[in-house]
Amino acid sequence: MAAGPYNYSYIFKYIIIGDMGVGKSCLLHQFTEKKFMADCPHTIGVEFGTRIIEVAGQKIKLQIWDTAGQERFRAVTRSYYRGAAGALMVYDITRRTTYNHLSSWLTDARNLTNPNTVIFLIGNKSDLDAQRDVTYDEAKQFAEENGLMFLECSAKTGENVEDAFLDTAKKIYKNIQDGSLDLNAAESGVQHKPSNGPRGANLGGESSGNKDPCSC
Amino acid sequence: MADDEEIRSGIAEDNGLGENADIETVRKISKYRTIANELRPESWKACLAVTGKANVLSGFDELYNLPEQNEIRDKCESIVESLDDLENRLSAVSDLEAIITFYCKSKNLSFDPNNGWLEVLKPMLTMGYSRTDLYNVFYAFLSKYTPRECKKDGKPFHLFRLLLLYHDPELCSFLDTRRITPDLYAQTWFRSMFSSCCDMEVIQSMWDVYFQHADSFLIFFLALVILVNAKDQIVGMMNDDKESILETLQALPGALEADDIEDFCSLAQYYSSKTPQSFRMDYEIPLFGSTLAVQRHELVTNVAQALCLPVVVSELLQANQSSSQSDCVRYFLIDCRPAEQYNAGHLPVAFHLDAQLMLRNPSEFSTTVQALFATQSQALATGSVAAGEHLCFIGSGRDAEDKYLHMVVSHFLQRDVRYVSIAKGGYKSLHKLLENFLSDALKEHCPKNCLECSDENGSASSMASNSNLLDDIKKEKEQASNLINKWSSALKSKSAVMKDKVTRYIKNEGNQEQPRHVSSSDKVGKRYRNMSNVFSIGDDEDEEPMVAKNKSDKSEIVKLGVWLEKPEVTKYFECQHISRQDNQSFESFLVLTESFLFVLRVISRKTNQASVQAKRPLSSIVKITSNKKRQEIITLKYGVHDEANGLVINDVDRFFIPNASQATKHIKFAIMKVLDALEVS
Ligand SMILES: Nc1nc2c(ncn2[C@@H]2O[C@H](COP(=O)(O)OP(=O)(O)OP(=O)(O)O)[C@@H](O)[C@H]2O)c(=O)[nH]1
Ligand SMILES: [Mg+2]
Repeated sequence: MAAGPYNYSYIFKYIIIGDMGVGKSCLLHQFTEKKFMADCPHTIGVEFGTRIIEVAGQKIKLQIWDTAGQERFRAVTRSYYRGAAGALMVYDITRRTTYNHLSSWLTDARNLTNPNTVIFLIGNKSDLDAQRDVTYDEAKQFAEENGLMFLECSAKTGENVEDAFLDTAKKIYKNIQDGSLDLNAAESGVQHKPSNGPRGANLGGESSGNKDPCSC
Repeated sequence: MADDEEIRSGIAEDNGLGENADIETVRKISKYRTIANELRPESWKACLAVTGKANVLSGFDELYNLPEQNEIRDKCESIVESLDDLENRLSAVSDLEAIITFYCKSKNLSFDPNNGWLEVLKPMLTMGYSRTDLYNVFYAFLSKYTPRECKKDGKPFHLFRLLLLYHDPELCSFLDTRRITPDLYAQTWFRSMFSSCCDMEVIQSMWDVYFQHADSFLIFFLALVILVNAKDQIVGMMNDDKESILETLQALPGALEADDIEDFCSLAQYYSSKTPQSFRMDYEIPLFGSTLAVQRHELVTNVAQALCLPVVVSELLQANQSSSQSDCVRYFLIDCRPAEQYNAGHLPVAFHLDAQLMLRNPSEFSTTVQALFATQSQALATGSVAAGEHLCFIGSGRDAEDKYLHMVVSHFLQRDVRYVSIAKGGYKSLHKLLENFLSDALKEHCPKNCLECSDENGSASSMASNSNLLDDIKKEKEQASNLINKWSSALKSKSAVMKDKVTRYIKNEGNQEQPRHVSSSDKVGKRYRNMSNVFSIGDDEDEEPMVAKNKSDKSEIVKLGVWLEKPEVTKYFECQHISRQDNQSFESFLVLTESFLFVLRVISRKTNQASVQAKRPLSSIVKITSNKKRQEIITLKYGVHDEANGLVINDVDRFFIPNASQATKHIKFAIMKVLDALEVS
């Protein structure tokens, strides 16, 4: 049992946000399945995906909430920001409006997550360079001004997708290591479990007891 | 038809649709159907309750001095011009202008040429009303039947989208993905009740039926039927651009014909009866209430942001208790709370699906979901009290956990599962509602562990923060039971009407019945090949067979659940079997085995009894037809292939099958198998 997929020492929670159609679900799918969905239906409410990765020799399970970009789902999706350790904020490099909306997505992310949440900006659809509507430099500058990590990715080719998810995890892990992220704080978005603990196998996810502040 | 009309007008003379006529009189005469031309003007007035109403227009200052006056006059003129056989055109224009001007002034509104008013007035103009009557009818129509906020991003369209999502998630998702929201194509439908997009004759018949039903929300279901009927066409446009899809959608009502209207309205009633009724309570005031009431009401749920249709808990309980069978929405309840909360009290009929299992153990979650569907169909087949086609999800009613509930509901919606709703306020509301008889109503209720029980005794703070909600619930508790009772009985009588309708519709067809032989060029072995699922659409009328009525009255009584689970049963479908003998419709199951088609008529779901009405060799089915416009109505024709006469049809069954295309597809496959086997042997 200990060698199975349950053998991980941390759970990190992520949320993916951004306008409708920027490719959030495709990014998640590329990351978890290594496949591109060409005709992906729009997301209703929220979808969920997981994958186990390794950072600094530690196995980490990522629990990823992919939210719907449509305005009408905002009331539902807002509830997933709380307790996210990482937020991937996505725009579409071929549609300027999706970039212009970033400031409001950022405001939501800042207001609804905790101060230590790592926010990663993704300019998606980098494969469509010919239709580019937002330059790399402009977005890079926006990211720096707001203290965000940044990459241009393509959910279609897979370019940089892995890095975006992993770099976020590395940063969270670093925050844990240097003590800036307090694991005991409410809603840190991180759960720690000793990987060889006796009950490791069925501690698979969310609430495993009242002592765990993340269970709500 | 002509006979019918004579009879109806005869009745009218006897009853006198005069001074005291009200909607009941009209219903008695016209039976919720199209109204005879000569009765229409008075009938409409009676239905809209303006018969004998005072002359409000006497308060009009007769000053035509609005800033947009010229535009008003122009529009009035062009509407009158568009009507061919109007007698006094000049006075018609001045009536219109007076009415619009006075309406604007008295309501303090300004005129917008797109507001639909003139389109609403147009059919009324053809009634030859006096100016007073015209105004009163117009006024009553706008306040009763035109929803508020028929504009971009308006409430009616958000509600409409939720209803579409409820009945056809696939279509809804298709349109959402293309960013085609109902406000882009249905504004004119709702503003003028289709007047701007249909022929006058069609509008008159539609309004006839509509006014008799007097249900403000029927427009939503009419629009729904229009969309759902055109689903294949719409989804087929997946490679077209948004603009052309929109154009197609906007033009859909134009295809209606006067002869369709009664069926069209019956179907709308059918959809309405298959919809939770709570939304009416939520939207009655915001959409149709007086301005004052609306201001007080604004607090209530935001439609624009609802994940799916909400159902108030009192409606759930009511539906669960009601013993009546197919007529109202029956729920299959899914309790999504964590196990320890579920174990501390839940409704006896609720299926437990721990929402957080989706995070903890996705594969176990999928297994449980499969079990859920299996349990549901089992329950449906055996007619247990827990049975219901409609999935209602219950959460705890606490934000912290409801986010997991929403995740599960999203999961179902994403997979195009229809009939999905959420219990409003969750277990918290349920607990509150059942406050005085918790131990009777809930199973395994354990006050010590029940979060709601401990909440009530303890933490006042959480009570305070929720006081709004609790107030709501208290109010609801008083109103809900009354309202729901009222509605469900109203609904019941309506669906009885609708059943009646379907029956009559079929009878009408039957009247033209004549013995007839079908051309022998229909080669038996090939007859189902290369045809679409519903093989020949709309051929019903001209191929009516001679019906042999020699079925024995004694039909075998069987246990429904046991029967449907028999190993040889390959497929079954719920349907209404429409008897040829007395034109009644019966709740039934179409059951397929490898070589036979059975019709089981439900005697009682409770006792799980059904009678075997028919046992047909699949090889005897020679034709399957559906009505061109109403594809849920399917006719199976049985016969033999006779060398001398070609194909001879000797019996017919008619069904109203909600999922007709699936059913016919399966029947077709089964028949093909049988025929293949015959060919080989
Ligand atoms: N060329 C290209 N197309 C992409 C890429 N990522 C997504 N798409 C396409 O963009 C469309 C929208 O992608 P989704 O992943 O559904 O977008 P979303 O952000 O999840 O949208 P919502 O769920 O409505 O919020 C789909 O048709 C994808 O095929 C990409 O990297 N390159
Ligand atoms: Mg998505």
